[in-house]
Amino acid sequence: MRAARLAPSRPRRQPDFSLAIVNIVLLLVFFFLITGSLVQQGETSVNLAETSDLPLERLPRPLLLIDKQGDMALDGQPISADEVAGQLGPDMPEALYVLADSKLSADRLMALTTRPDLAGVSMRLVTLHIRPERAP
Amino acid sequence: MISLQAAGHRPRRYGFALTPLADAMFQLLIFFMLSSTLSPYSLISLTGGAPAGQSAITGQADAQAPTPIANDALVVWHLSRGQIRAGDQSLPLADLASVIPALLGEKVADVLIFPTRSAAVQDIATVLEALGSNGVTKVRLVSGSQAEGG
Repeated sequence: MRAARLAPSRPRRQPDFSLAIVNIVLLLVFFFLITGSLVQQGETSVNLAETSDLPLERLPRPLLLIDKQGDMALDGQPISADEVAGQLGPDMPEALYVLADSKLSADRLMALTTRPDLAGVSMRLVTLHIRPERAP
Repeated sequence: MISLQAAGHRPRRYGFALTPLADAMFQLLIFFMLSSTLSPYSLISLTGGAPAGQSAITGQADAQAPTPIANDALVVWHLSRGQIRAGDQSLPLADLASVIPALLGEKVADVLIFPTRSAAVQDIATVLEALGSNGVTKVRLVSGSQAEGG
């Protein structure tokens, strides 16, 4: 018989999917690293103003949170308006990112932007991006 | 001398164990999934040569603000809760985007916004978004308005 002359077949090796799993998980890690922002618990605990047409941005530091009553927290630490400049240090950051409650009085926000001790700091209002409503 | 190979021993193959690597990757993945928030945020510049908003009538901001050109039109709006008022006309903020093309057609170069006492942060965000996304780049927010608003 012809088949009897053939070399005995080796046991087939099971394909190893570990490398594929590692690759996929690594891609997921990169995805979360790039698109996510590490925030502390309670650091974004205000109802932000909503916008829909502006581009998405990451949430950089320093973050100044202002709640509805006007109470402030800089990167999670409670702070008063007079202490913000001192807390930012002598090397003022280029920008200060303001997470203000949507119902906060505009006057309070404007008062912060016009403080002389924060004159060199560019202030950016952080808003929550919502999907624009599509017309039916 | 008899070599091992000659004696029929195959050289031992050292495999690369990927399971610990996969474990570590999963730990990292779970950490980032739990600790990070996907960024649904947008930013609006309020000061510092901002394209979509510039405050205010302090010395600093005045120094940064470009000198108005004589023939350029200037629009003054009073911003209150959910609406803007220009002169004796009021307009809901929801309809603001429909007005801006007409403003641009009239070569309005500068928009001056006075938030009234009833205005909230959401109103500022809405008006700056509408102006910025429709190409109005010179917007100034003026603080200290004593006007009452709707």
